[in-house]
Amino acid sequence: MKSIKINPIVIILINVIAPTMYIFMSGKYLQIYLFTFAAALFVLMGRFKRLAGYLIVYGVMMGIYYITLNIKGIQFIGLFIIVIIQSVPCIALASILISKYNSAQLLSALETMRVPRVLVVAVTITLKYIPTFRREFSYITESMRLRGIGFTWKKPIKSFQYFIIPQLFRCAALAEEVTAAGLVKGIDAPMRRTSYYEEKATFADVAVFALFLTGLAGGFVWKLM
Amino acid sequence: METNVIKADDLCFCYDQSSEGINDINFAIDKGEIVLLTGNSGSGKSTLLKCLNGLIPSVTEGEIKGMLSIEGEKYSDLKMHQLNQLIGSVFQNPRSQFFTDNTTAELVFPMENYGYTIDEMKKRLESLKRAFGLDGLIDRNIFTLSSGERQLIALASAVTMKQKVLLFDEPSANLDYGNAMKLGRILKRLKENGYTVIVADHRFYYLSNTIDKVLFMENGLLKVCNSEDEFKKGNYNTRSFDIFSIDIPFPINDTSGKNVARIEEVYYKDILKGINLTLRKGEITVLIGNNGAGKTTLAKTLCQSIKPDKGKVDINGLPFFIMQDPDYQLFGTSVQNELELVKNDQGAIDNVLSYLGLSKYRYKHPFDLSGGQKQRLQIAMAMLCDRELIIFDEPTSGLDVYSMLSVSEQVKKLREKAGVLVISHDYEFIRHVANRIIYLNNGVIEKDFILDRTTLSELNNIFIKMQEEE
Amino acid sequence: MKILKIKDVVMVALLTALYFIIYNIAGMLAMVFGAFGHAISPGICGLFCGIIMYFVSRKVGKFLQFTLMQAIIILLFTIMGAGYIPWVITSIVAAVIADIIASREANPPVWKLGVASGVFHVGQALGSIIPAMFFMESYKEDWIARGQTAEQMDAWVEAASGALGVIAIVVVFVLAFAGIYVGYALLKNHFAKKELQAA
Repeated sequence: MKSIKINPIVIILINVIAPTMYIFMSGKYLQIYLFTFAAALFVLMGRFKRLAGYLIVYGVMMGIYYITLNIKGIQFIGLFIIVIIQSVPCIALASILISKYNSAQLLSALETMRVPRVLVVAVTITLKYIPTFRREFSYITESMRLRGIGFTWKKPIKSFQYFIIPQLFRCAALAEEVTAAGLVKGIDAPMRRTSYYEEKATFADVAVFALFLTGLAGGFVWKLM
Repeated sequence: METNVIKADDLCFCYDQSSEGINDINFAIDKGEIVLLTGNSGSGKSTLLKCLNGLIPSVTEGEIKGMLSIEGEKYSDLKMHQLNQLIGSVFQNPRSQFFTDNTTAELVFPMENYGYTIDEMKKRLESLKRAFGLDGLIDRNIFTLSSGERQLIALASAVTMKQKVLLFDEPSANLDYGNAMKLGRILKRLKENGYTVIVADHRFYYLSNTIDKVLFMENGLLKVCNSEDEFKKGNYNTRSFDIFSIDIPFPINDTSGKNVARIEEVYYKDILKGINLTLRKGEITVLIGNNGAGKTTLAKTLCQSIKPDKGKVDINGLPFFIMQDPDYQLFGTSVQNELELVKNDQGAIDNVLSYLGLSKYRYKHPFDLSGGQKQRLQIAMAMLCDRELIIFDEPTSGLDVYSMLSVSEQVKKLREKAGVLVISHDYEFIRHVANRIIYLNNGVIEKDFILDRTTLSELNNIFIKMQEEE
Repeated sequence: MKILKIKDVVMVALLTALYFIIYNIAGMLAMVFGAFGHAISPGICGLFCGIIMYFVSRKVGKFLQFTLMQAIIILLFTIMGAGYIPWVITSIVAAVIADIIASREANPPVWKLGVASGVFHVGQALGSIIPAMFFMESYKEDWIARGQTAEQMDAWVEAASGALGVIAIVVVFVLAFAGIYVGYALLKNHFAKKELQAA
């Protein structure tokens, strides 16, 4: 079977809506439905390795839930476990988003959602600098070591201070340069922003999303019955 | 008919917060010219550049007088986003001028901002690919590019709106010798294709025989030279055009100092392949080689931040390492406090502060210092420390001639108390400080010699060779 | 009351990148405490990120700065598949309240910032607490079917809601409030230099 390509916006919307529904409908129905839906989506997208991992994690957690439920005295553990289990399908779908799409594709979803330009630019900058700062934290810790003021648990506050403060002040200096670079690239232009990576909705996208909504509607019917 | 692309009439700018600024600026730039904008730090060079790219007055506030126009239109009538469709800017810091981590995403970023359709973007991307030879650079992670490739992406993304005027802010600061020379050739080609290019830089050896006009700033005033020759005859104390012709006395060589570090048969991944090296007190050793030759990795083995796969590194304690970007290694709340972290000895601190002319900045926050002052603060730290080996990584990138000369004096002073290893591609600086040259190529030490009258040609040959390799 | 300029937006975006890194580290630290840890992870984040909130206030100091920060965080989590509506609503409302408390003046007192950061992070925490409570409610019948009495079950859910809800909210608020004071203490000397120079 040929695997289908799905627009990231579909998965994003599913994850925005799905957990919210726990407030409105039976948790049990939704749990089973989301579990099945995510599994089916993995099959359609041809992500069989991920599907296997997903099934194992889910199975183990459900196992723990039923075991604790039947042992008197520790039943309350199940309460906590089930709260985590409810989010596993969404976490699994999110992991697909992060592994399969690059950051430019994910950002294009903001354009589809008609997010205001200033926020798109802000999120673009934040997303770009997360890995940059992560890398630079390693330069800073290296530099602390060479200065003889390396990170130590004996002085956690002092160490934290040396670690974070240079980066804060660097952000302040960097803001000026990034603003300059952004302005000359038109981040403040008045027209509507477009995205090179934005893809038109395909039949598969619409079908998957419609199927998802139908399933949710089923939940309400189930509750009424 | 109006042929001037850019014209300034009695342009003045005064900053809100300080008395500095530029005054009575008059010049005209014609289509297809390559213009050098130069001058020492604080001369008003960056202020003029900010006027040209519109950051004054849109970001930096102050009082602007006189007239500046581009292609017949007044700057004051143009909005920032309109101006930037006429003029493209290339900044020097690779860290802050990219907005994405992917080359394609970066090239389309301005077009997205200006609301291009996907088809228009694809077309433009194709023509940029052809014009700049970007075939191997499409859809790559920017972080993995070499400095020359990054420069090319920055350049291509600056002309995505078909801008015909290009501004460069200190392009040589982050380029090695070979890539700077290559940039010089690219600029010539741009000129042939009708681009007007303005380069603001302290260094301009890579522009030799290319320049049509020089805008020389001094104390906020402008002197225009209408040819490269006129500028050369002007006797300005600037960095040289022909770096190989400079005449600097060779430092006295003293090999009697004790050994401070020894590297024996060191291998590391594919980067270092059998390095043997002994560093001595009293010696200033300069490590040269193109990007990717293994210079930084070699320094890291001395800092014990990486363990070699094979071989021995013999060093007493840690070296003092001065990174290219000082911002990673300043932790103090003030200049005074920064130095206390190195060595809490007030007498010694007072001495180095006055020697380096930093006394009046004692209570300033390290991050409020200028680039040159930060550099001096790092040297002050090196002077105070009790380490036997001091390593500098590109200490002169972005410095003007005066700052470069004072850094070289200070580095020479350090050899009295320690061994010094410098990674640099700044030829002038190398000639001022080096006792000994080590040429690293592909993880192997190809040359290791004492620099004096007889070996100078060897150094020059290495530079010429590095240029050809890039 | 000053409004945010493009440079302020860039500065907040950069500092949010820093915030995000620490947020993730805090999230991992919180996992040690299980589900309760998950509920209070915004508080642990607030403790470490107080210094960033404090820095934003001192360097940007404009209205809607915290709302912008929260909006960036929400959008980032959303495009990574981790945004959901209750959390979006409680987070953004809390951030607006935080701005009303501490972003209308240029140099707000530290305690006001503490309260603002407390509210800001409680907003994030509420988003994960509220759905969890609804979810447990719907599972009551499961337990009852297995021989628990309805009263006992109610007591349990109440206890769990108490632990997850009230205690978590208090803990988050206190940690985030303390975080601002940590930030203030660490940055005090860095911001003190101006007076010293003048002296």
